[in-house]
Amino acid sequence: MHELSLACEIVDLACETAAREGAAAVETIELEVGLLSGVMADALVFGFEAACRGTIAEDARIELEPVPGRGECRACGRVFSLDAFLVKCPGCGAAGVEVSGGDVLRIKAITVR
Amino acid sequence: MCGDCGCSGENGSRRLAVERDLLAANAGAAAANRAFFAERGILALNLVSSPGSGKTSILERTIAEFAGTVPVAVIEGDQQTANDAERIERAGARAVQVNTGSGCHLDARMVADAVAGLDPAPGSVVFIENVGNLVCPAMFDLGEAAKVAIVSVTEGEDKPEKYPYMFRAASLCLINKTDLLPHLDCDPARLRQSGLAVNPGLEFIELNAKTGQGFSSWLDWIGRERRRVAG
Ligand SMILES: Nc1nc2c(ncn2[C@@H]2O[C@H](COP(=O)(O)OP(=O)(O)OP(=O)(O)O)[C@@H](O)[C@H]2O)c(=O)[nH]1
Ligand SMILES: [Mg+2]
Ligand SMILES: [Zn+2]
Repeated sequence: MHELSLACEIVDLACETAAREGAAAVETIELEVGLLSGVMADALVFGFEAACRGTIAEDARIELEPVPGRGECRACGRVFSLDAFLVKCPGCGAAGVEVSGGDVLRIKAITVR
Repeated sequence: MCGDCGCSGENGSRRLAVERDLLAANAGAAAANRAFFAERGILALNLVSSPGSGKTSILERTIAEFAGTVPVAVIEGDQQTANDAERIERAGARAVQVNTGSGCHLDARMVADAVAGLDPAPGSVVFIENVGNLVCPAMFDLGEAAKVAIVSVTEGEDKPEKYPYMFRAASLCLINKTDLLPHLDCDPARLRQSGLAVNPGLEFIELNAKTGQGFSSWLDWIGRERRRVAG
């Protein structure tokens, strides 16, 4: 699962940042996860639990902020937020929906002590 | 939380801004690969599909068709074995096998290493046969010019809607094993509809890697993309 390699990157980035600031431990990790990024939040947290062992992020809590995508109907112009690849407009039912965003995978911040 | 320094005020916790993309390392390596290909006028195509859709068979025939006219090199991604790289070499092209072990996809760093070993000729076509998996390879940019999704007619007409990320990321969809259509209830027109539902710009070519049917369209498509990268 690619979620595990992503979890390793989260641990690396968090530990790197914390060490640079002379911190002893990472307490929380704030993540933005796009709902159209193809990443399963559960699998990511599960992967994190394996990846953080033996690091200063071992006891860190993950705070996930889900980020929806944006859909725009090509037929009626309606704009709506997407939490999955939806193929029809919720307004007029047309199939041509322009999808953008919702693919972010980002560490926003960490808390350390 | 204290508004001045971000500390929690209680136990000396501090909040540090990170603002880093998780795939940034891969994106950086992919950009370097893309620059390398662009400098040499190389067309790099990332072939993605479920296991067994016919990727290697399509490559074998493509290599035979291009023999003596277009230099071809292949990066073969599989979890294990060098079988596919051996098939490609027997077909007459240079190949490097990348085994991902437990990994479910190729990433841009693996491709950078493989490309360094292959040293593909200027103006050549580099095919990257990704690990058979319609999920993870969609997320990892390898520095290719385009992703080509291959779906065989035995896999069901609604494959694109079931795996929308991949079919959204692809530019071209090859519908393979059309020789088996008489034995199945698969209507290629329905498969196309399913692809267009997730990616209105997706192109399609129907292929038969056994007989070569449809290959003229596929070779034309590659020719068009080669002219595009040559500028
Ligand atoms: N009937 C028929 N069989 C095909 C066709 N293309 C490939 N096959 C068969 O499908 C099987 C898998 O083909 P491969 O080319 O190895 O498929 P692949 O996608 O490279 O497989 P992996 O690398 O293992 O994911 C082989 O038995 C091929 O002979 C086709 O057009 N028609
Ligand atoms: Mg293969
Ligand atoms: Zn609409």
